[in-house]
Amino acid sequence: MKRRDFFVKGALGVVATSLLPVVASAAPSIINTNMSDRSKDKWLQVGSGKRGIPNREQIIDVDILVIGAGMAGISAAVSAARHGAKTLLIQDRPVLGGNASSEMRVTVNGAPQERETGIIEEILIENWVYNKQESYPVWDHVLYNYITRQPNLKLMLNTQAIDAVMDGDKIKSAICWGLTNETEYTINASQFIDCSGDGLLAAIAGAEYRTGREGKDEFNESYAPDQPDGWTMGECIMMITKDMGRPMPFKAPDYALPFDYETAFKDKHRRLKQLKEGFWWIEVCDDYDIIAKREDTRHKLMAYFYGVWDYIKNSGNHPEADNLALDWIGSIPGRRESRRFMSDYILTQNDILKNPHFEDAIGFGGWSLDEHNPGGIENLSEPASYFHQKSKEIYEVPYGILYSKNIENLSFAGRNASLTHIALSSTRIISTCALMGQAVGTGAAICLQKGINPRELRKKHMDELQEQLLRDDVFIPNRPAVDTNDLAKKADEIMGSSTVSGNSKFLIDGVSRDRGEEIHHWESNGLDAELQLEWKKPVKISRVELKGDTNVLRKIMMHKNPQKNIQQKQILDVPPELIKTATVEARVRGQWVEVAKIEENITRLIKTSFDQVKTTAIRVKLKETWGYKNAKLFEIRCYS
Amino acid sequence: MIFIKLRNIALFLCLLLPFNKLVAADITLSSQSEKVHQVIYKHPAQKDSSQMNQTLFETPDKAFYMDVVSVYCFADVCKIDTVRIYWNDIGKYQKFELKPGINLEKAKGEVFTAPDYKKLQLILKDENSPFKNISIDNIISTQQTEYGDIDAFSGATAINLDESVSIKGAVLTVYTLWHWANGGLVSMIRKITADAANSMDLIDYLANKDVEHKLFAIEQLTKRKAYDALLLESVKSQYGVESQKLKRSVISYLENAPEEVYINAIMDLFDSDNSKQRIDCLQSLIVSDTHLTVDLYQKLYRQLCHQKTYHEVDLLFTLLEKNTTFSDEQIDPLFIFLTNSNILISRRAYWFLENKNINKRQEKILKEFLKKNSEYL
Repeated sequence: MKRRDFFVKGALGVVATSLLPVVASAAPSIINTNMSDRSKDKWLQVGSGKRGIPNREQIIDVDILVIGAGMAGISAAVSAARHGAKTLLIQDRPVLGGNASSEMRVTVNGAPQERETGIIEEILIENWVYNKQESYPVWDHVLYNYITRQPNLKLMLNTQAIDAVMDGDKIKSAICWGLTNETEYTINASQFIDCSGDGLLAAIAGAEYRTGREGKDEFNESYAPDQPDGWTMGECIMMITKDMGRPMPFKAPDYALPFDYETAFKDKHRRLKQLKEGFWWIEVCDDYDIIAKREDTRHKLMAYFYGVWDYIKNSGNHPEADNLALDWIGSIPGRRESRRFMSDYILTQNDILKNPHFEDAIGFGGWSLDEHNPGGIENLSEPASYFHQKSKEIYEVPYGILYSKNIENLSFAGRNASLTHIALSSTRIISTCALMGQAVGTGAAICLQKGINPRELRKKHMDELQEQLLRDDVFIPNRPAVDTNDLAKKADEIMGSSTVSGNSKFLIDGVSRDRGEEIHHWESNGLDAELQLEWKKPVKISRVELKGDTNVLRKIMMHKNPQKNIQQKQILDVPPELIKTATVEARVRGQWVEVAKIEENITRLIKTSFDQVKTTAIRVKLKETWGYKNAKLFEIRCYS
Repeated sequence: MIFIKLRNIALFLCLLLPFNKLVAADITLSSQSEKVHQVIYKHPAQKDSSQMNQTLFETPDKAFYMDVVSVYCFADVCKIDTVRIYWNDIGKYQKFELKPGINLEKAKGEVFTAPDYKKLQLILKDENSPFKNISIDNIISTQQTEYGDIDAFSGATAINLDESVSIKGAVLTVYTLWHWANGGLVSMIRKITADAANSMDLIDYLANKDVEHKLFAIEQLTKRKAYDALLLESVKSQYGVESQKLKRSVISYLENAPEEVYINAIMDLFDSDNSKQRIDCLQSLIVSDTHLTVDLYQKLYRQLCHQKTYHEVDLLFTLLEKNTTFSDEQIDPLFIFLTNSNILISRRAYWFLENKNINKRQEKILKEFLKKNSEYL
């Protein structure tokens, strides 16, 4: 195979890489096993009586390959496919969701100030249709359903990208291994998006990356350590308990490590405030190469976890745990940090706290600088996390951190974006990563259409990318939509039923959510409300798109402990404000004609398409919501 | 549930002071004759139902107050003070008072500062504070956030409270007091006042400069289905006040009236040179599915020459489209719109008229319009 041409370094190369400075190119691959070589295979297929050699090689051609199907990768793949790119999403686990999957059960948190919209919101709302019980295994399959029904998108689970075939500074192919079907895939693509977290493909391709903590001088980060070091934030496993209604004994496994609770409890973060869903401070880190230590870390986490549970059950200090038993415990640690790939821009602490405006903003974040203890539970002398500070407002995330600075056709989303360690402590939150995913997926599709790469996209076509993201219901702070193709903006009159708040004219102001006291919506007084746009001269329209209300100030995530959402009176359903039933009518030669019907809608972005009509007016009849008494919209768009 | 009894009270022997005057010289003694209402209200932060019985005092000048606990604290480590909360006659929070020498406390025993009290007052005045729709569990999580005990991984679910809507280190206190000031007690006070008010009292409320009092009166009159002439006129006159909420309330009051009363009243309002007012009336007529009588036509047509905006013309035609047959007297006046310089208006009229039973002269006018404006049709 041609890729072997690139495999020229052996053991010496490996030794050399271990001494690399913080900014490093990936280690050259030493994989040369030719896994698909089955020439010694002695297969007798008794049914046919034939001997043969199984075919364990496949070549797949796609436009865009997305590696990693956490929420960032899912968002990237779906957005790329929706914009016409033939897209393949591969995931090295049997389930989708990454850290958010049933294997790890990290809550899909986002900016606490206001919620993300776009693909991540679509998924979270859809989950309430299929999975009101908040079951994580069911959530996996909600994601599976969501992905597999998307046109242009193919999914391959249990498939890991293990090598790259390069053409200069471009990736030509990803070599992938099917964990369950012994198959080696050569996947050819024009654009590659690595959302795998650890970024093995990107690293092997030679994309520059960092691990460890920058010193405070490099980017003037006050929360960074005085001197750079190798620490990364650690990994956790979670658990769920159940009350058996009778005393339940617990015998710790042999490998459990004793819990030094007296020292641990000196830190206010390390407390047992609940016994239902795991303890985030049972965390194990590494100060050199957290990826290499993965299996050691998993073992340690299990050992520490069972040690803590042994203390809870058998110390006599927690009689409230007498009837509790472990119902589920993770076997795959959820990882907060590993490689951070370098792009043309590196997001820093100051970008998060001072919130500058980025001309290439593609989304936002808002989580605090939540930097975990170097050492985790093995370093009880420091707090479990520092929770340094949070941005008062949501901060802008730029596209300039989402592609490789030295591999031309490679983008990133999620924790492997171009960030300092301190910045990552905020951006690592799942919904923030998903916004990055939607941006790079959309960006890659535009790159494909134009025959360019992400850097050129950033330089010359950012407006186009931003406009598309805004149209697809991503909120970009300080960047109103000004899509010149949107005929609603050119309407000579926009009017609606009587209102309780807002104004129908706000629906074309380009801002799709309220900004504090600044209103950008139209809310009818009751239902069977109508909205009408008029043009003096007839226009041709085949698409009408609405943005409804899902109350972005309210939480809508499921939780591994459903009782928590019940206690907090979270709405465990489709947001009641959302439009459920509506029709779109066009006036053709003075007569209203129904051109689209919206039924059982569960998305904030409501898209309709129909045979193009030449019309002088569009009328939307908003008939039903999921429970709220009024119809509330934030945007209407019309396209030819 | 409310129980009322009258008593002479040398009230609250412990002396109370306005929050911003915590000095001994300002002591005042309450010894008025007041009504006492025993009410049952479960504060959302209460752990159980054992503390639901509350005493609500009504002063002779129709204000209300109650002495409440400053905080429901789940960890049982908070300092609990008594706070007196004041409302006006329609349940709008006014102020709070503390006993002399008593200070509310924040985390770690730190006392409220003067700016904290000022901020607390602003928060309690905000009926639509974020505290309105969040449960105590969210608040407890938020408390934890302040101390950092929450994490992205394990499922942070705390709401994010902006500093402007809460007081750092005293979220539970603010939450507790906000729900005293703006929670279920408000509707109880409104009910007490409403039950005691006769029609003349409600007319007085309508005359009050405060929009909330006017809304209160209209709400009560709507509930009572009170539409005698004096009341009707008093309510209608409120439409002129610059408040969208009040205008909506007036229209809603009229929509609940008997049909004849409604039509007369809404057409009175329609007879206006204010386009927005006419739009409100037309929207109401369309929604209320009113039968289009000859009298109604006459009243509508009186305003034809004043119809200047496309929105109201469109609504007018939408209303007229409810009829299937039209007399020549009903059709002919509408031709005036064909000459309107706004093509949206003239076009709307054209499309309305083109399918009607029209005479040759009218047909000719339509043909000329079509010829002249084909690019817009």
